Amino acid sequence: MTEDLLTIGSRTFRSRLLLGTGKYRSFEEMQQSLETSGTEVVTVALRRLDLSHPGQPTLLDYLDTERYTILPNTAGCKTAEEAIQIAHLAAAMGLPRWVKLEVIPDPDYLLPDPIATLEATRQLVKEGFEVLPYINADPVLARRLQEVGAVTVMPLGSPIGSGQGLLNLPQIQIIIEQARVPVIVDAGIGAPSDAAFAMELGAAACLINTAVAQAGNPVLMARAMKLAIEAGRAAFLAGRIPRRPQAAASSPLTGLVGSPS
Amino acid sequence: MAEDAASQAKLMTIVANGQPWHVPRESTIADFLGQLALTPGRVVAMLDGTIIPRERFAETRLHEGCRLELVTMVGGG
Repeated sequence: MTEDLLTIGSRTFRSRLLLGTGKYRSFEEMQQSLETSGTEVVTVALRRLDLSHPGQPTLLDYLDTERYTILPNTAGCKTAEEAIQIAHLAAAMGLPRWVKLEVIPDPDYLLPDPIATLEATRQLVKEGFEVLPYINADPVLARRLQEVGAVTVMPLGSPIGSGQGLLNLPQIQIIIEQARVPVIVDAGIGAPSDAAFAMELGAAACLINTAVAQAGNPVLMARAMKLAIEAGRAAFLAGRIPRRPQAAASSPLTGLVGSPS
Repeated sequence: MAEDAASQAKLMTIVANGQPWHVPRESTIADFLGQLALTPGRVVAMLDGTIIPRERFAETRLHEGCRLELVTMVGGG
């Protein structure tokens, strides 16, 4: 059997679990969680350097940038212009020329702006970026983003950090059915069953942060998510049985002990 | 007083990451980071809206009233 690889734009990975690096209780827990998860792609945010505390440990002291491919996000950006600027800064920092594009004007539900996301994608693709847009689960938008050159689409299962699972299931199914690029379910995954379910439906990968970072034991949850993603992927490739309205016995219905004939 | 005025004359005020800082005139971005004893692993600057990669920190001079943003990577999802 040929190896089942995930290709996002020009990059290829074995793991189908992308992990965030935010919200861990300590850098040590983050480091161990990343390791246990088997992830190859980790997201980071760009923020002002803390000028007042030199010598304080930072993410970089705990993140092996040789081992993991760093995917910069544009979290915190409310407009296309802001997001484009963050992508430029990330590239100037020497990070890979790809970006998890988030344009989020709404602070309560953190729902992305579809129009600004499309505009920013179009511009960044023109500039040679590989763009991974974070979107609401809108199949039409997903198609438009592919048309302008997005290398994946990343529909949310439910709002960021909410752990509500896959609330947009029918829409995500349509996106998967129509997509020519890998579909990465990003946001809302609360438990391994959510991740496995997304993979069973044919998602190419899942991007998870809070469900691991804020778990009672993040390192153990990272392992659980790894297994769930692998199980879900294998189930998708294997092909699940159809749902039937009536039972179908698993054991033979003939040769019953003590039957008259 | 005269000494103060002399030292004042050698300093300029810049705005770095939203805060005012007094730095010697003619300082470069690299000088400013050195003054703060900061040796960040990954960093990029924006000087008055123009992106300056790290390789150019040593040659890029700050000026009175300039707005400097120093940006790095932090945990995020």
